[in-house]
Amino acid sequence: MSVPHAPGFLLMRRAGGVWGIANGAVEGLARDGAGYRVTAGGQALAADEILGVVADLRIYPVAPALRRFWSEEPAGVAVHAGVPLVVVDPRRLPAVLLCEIPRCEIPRCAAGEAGAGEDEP
Amino acid sequence: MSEPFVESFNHARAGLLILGGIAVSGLLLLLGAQAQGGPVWMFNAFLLVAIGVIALYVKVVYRTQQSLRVEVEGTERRREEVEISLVRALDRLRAGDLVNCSGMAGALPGRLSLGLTNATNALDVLAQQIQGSSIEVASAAGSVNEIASELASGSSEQAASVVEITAAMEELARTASQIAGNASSQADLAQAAEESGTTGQAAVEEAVDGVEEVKKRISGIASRAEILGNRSKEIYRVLDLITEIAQETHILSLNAAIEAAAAGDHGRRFSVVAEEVRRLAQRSQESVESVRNLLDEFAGSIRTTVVATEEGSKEAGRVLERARAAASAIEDLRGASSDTARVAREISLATQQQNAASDEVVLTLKEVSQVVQRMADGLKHFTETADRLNRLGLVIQMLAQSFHLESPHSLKHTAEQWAANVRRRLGNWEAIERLLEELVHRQGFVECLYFYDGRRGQTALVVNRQVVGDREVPGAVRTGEGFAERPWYKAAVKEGKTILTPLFNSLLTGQPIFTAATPVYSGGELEGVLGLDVNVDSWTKI
Amino acid sequence: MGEPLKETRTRREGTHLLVRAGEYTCGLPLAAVRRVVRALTVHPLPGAAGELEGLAEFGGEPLPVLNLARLVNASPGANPSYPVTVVVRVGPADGREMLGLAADAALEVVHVPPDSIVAGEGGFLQGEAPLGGEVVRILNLEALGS
Repeated sequence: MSVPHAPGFLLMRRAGGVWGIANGAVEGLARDGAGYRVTAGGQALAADEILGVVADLRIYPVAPALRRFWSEEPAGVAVHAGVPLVVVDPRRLPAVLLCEIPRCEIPRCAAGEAGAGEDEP
Repeated sequence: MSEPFVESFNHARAGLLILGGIAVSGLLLLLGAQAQGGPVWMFNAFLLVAIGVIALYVKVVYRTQQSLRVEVEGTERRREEVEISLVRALDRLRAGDLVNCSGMAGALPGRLSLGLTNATNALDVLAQQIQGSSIEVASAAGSVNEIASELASGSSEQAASVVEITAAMEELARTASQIAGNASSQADLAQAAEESGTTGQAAVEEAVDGVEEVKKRISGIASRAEILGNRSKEIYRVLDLITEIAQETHILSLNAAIEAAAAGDHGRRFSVVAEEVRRLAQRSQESVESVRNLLDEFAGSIRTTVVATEEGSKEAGRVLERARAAASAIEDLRGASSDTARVAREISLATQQQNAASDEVVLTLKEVSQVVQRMADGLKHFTETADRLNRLGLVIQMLAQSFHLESPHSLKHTAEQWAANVRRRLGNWEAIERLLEELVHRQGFVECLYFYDGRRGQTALVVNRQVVGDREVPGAVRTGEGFAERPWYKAAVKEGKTILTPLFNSLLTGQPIFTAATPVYSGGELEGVLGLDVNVDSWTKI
Repeated sequence: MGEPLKETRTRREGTHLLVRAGEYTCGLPLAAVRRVVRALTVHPLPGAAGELEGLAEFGGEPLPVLNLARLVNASPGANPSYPVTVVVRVGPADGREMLGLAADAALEVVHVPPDSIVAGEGGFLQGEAPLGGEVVRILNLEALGS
């Protein structure tokens, strides 16, 4: 699978959440069994589904209340097609996206346990 | 002496007398002639010639006659001896003692001996054949007797069976009459049941119509109840919508209050309106809840009604089903009653015919019974005839046994041989007993074998357990008490040879037996008598 | 339930929106309340604490939604008939942020006299106040933004 070089963000689904990563940060994308392996920042990310690429996103900063209850440090949050998503920082990738974490140890949301009313982008 | 010889001798003597008379007459004539003067020499010559003729006659004829007479007398004596021997031999022959008769024939002259021996041998062969045949005749007669008895018994049983069958057929005929009567009654009952079934079927059909009408009405109620239920659902949906609107209104009023509060004094009036709207929404919600509760009750009633109508419909269905089943059953019953009536009439008719046929069978059976009775009578007669035949066979056998033959079938011969064996053991009583023990088991027809020593009054007696079984031998028999006075003993002693007694019943077995008794001599002196009690049944089965 | 809203400014200071969170009735300062809406669809964030239900979309923007019942340590309500999300603004004046509070129901706007509030343990729970025969937990939403 070719690496998206266009500007914008690669959207993917993982552990029931929607995640976005800047296309420029994506180094590689390959099938990995039933899912995908995305290489970014020298690290391998796991994705259950690749939702597509969007040219532009309005990224909001992460509110203190959010940081208070979530230890990850994403680049921001955004909304695409009515669905909120987390834009990750390639330098500080959330643990849930890393391939090294087995699916069974994914915290809070099991694989495929998507949030209620989740919409496709 | 033979008559011809005597006559010849008399003729010779008469001739001599005639010659003497002629000589005397001639002499007298010569003396007369001499007296009258005739020549002396003539006289002397005549005398000499006469004497010479007489002497010659005596020499030639008379002497011959005399020697012939002596010879004839010797011959006569020998003839008498032969006659005596012949008479004795014939006497033995008359007594049936062909063995001794044959021995005596040796004393007779050649051809007579040969002829008698040949005749005795031929008679011996014939007697042996008769003995053998008599045994077979007796055996066959016994078999015929048994068969006749079995036939008679079977015939009697057959007659009894025919009588039983006749009685059974009569009973069957009576039963058939009863069945015919019962079948007729049953036919009447079945017809009545058929009529009742027709009435009942009409009643059940009315009931079915009624139940169907009830079911239709219940179904109508159920339909209406269902419509009401559907309407209730629509009302619920409307209530849900009203609730939704009330909730939205409630939220809207809250947001209005929020906005009013944010507007400060400017929003004061608006906050009042918002509060009123909120209250209105709350009341709407409360009203909706009231309506919902009422509707719940209503819906519950409808559900109850629906359930009741469903149950009623089901019950009506079941009643209808049962009523239809009852109608069907009544129809079947009516059909069955009709069939039963028809079958009962057929049974009645058939049993009447059967009754008539049974009567005919009874008549036929009575004829058969008479025939069987006649046959039984005939068989009874046949049995008696067979019994007579059996006895005749026995008599023939007894008569045949009167011959003393040199044959294993000759009882006298056997008795003589056994007596000879006893004679050789005289003086050794134990040997005699062992001999009797051995002999009695050699011939299965001998029931009891005994030797009575008349001089010592001692008895050796052995019974054949194969014939006698475990029966106890009476003490008097075992000791030979009174044996010397028994007919068989006396007859044997009197005859001096083997005799056979007439038939009598055995003391041991009660079966017909006869005794063959043989006197035993030693040095011409009577030592005792050997007796064989011969079981007739066993004997004829040899 | 509560005392009807008065239009005076001082009274506005004590105005609260009553919401239901589990077995508790909570009073949210009305000044912080931006909007009450039907419960928004929330997308969970893996690895987040239990108080943070996830992200929702409100007005085209991402909105973090907190579970009010978890915040006040209430037992979760069983199938609330009309759950709502209360959109509030929290934080200092120079950096106020929008937050969603998921509640079992929004009840009404009432005035709670400040002097009737019995101070609580501080922080998010400002205190408790009796209202209409019931104890209302007054919340300090500013604490969420700090």
